[in-house]
Amino acid sequence: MSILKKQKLYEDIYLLQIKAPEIAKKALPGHFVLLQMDENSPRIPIPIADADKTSITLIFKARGKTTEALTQCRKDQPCYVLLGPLGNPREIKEYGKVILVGEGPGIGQVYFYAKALKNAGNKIISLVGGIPKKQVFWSDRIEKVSDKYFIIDPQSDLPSPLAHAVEQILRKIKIDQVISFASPNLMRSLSQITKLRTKHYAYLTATMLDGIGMCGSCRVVCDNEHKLCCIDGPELDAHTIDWDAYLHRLAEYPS
Amino acid sequence: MNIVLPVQKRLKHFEEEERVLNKEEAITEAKRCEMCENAPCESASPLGLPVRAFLRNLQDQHFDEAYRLVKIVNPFPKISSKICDAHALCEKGCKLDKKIQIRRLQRFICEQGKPPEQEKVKLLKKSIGIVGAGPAGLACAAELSKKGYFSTVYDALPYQGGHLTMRIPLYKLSKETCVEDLGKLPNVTYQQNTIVGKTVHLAELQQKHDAIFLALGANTPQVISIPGIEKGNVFLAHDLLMRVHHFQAHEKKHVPLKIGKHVVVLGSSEVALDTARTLRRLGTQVTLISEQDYSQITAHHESLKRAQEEEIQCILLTQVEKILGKKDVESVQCIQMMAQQTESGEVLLSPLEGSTFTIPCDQVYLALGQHSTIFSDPTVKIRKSRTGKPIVNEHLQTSEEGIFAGGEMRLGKVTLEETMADGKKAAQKIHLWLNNALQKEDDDDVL
Repeated sequence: MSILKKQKLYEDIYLLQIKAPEIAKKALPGHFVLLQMDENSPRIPIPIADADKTSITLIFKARGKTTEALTQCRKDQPCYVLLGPLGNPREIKEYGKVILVGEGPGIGQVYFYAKALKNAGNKIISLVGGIPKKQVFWSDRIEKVSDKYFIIDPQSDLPSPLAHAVEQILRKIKIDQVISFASPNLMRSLSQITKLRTKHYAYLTATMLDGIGMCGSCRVVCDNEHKLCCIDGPELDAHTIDWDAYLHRLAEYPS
Repeated sequence: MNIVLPVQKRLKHFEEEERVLNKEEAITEAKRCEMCENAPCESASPLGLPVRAFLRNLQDQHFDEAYRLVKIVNPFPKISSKICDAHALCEKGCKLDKKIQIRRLQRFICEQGKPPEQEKVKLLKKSIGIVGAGPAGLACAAELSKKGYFSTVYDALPYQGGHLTMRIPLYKLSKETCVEDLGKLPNVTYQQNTIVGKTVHLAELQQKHDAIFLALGANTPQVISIPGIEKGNVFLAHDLLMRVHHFQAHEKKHVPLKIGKHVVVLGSSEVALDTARTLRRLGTQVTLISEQDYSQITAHHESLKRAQEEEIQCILLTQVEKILGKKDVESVQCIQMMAQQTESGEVLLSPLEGSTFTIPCDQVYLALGQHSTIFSDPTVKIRKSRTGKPIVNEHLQTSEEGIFAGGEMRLGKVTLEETMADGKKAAQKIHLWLNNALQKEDDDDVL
């Protein structure tokens, strides 16, 4: 398992393509991996944004010390640990009209989900944003697998342009489900907008040590019940998540 | 006989806190044994350690032979000589007021005796896939190896040992000991960083192996509902133990570690004590709170004594009602409990009215037990109980032909010896099944 390609997509957003045939064969939308590049670096959970027969593609944002260290990896560097595919994959079936919301690195997952859900007969409305319109990556491929595709420019007077755009659509069309791949703050705003209107699943990328339910670091409170992102998630019902608690926990051990 | 390092030395580092008995001490200790005819110590040993023969050899200074006797029944004698629950097993069976220290004598033998070499056996062209590199999985692999089978052990973690290397404190069990005992199993290969059910599926393992043993342990921590538990700086004990004892975050710094100034640990298990004592070594003030009284706590009383020596405040018979604070934890609200014994001997706990008090703190760790790891695989559906444990028959066979399950995954949290004994049992059952002899064993039982 080694790095096939590293690409800077936008400022602090990077793409890694990793040769990992065993994981690639089984990777499905929803899955993530734990990546550790050497013995002295931490393990970082990263969602899988695409996979072919022998490799997986990961897109991540360098938001802290540990993810910044990951941007230093080189082509052909072997991975010290690549554990996966972890988490529960999305059940691919016909849901109806589905909005996929991708912010920053989450744009990659919009593509992976849209591709599979479109094949299952869903009407896909993809909304991406968080980075300037001209810098948005994977636009061509997302457009191909979406019935409607919108790029929402972050430079707007609105406090949350992506959330505003979702709200506008929900007012006009009956949507069966929203799935968001975004920052916790945006997903929290979206959960307020979608509440009482439609189902909403938020993809959580919490910090964790093992990815198999042993450490409990990725604990989330959902309707007073404790869930672990690694084995119960990573997609969880956004309307049940105690977002304040989730944000406090993330702040304890930021990645 | 002062076996444990003095408190000040203990708190300075994470090196093992117990020293090995010297020769004179070991022989004197072994000679205290009265060699009871019925040997309750032997029947209390899950692995069937021949305690009297072991002690007799020790008395006669036949250390190699004593080591051989241990190794016949115990695949990992060094590890168990440091962390086994002998006080609740063979030592508990000892009739003397001052129990013979069988565990410490085993440790002496592991240092003094020459490790016996595994007898050469005819290698068989059969391989077994073992899921989980914890004590049950590895005990099964070691036993199968003695019978001539090849095993491949699959594990999600990068090291062998399961919970032994993930969360047992380094001051009890060093990494070196784990490597010595677990690292050189003949006819065993490891496939690490592999999650069966995810990275590889059971259907693929069925193609590769002649039988499969599931031994995923009991590693999922339990959480109970206490108001305030959702606060960011309320952690699970396993989080700390893994950061420190597995990733060594206190030294290497590559895994973050944030420790409060005054930390409260909830629980009374050995894991709770391990958490409190680890925190104390990191220089923080620690209070351990448990609903149970001294007689009910599941931790070894010796661990509690050492915790108290290390100035960990241990408040027993006390329930935490709420975790208080605006954004983060600021204190815990507690109430004292009363223990009353019913006529049937059951101990009932009830809150003592008006006894509420608070303890200021800036971090809380929960050590409230753990349950069996839930296993699922998209290709093979194994029947499970309501709690998610695989349902097995008396031969440890699951609902799927050729797949066996055991260890803490089926038993829940038990002692290291019981886990290893179950792994060994699985090896025997797999051996019989591969030789079409399980049915015969059943028939023999009926006759």
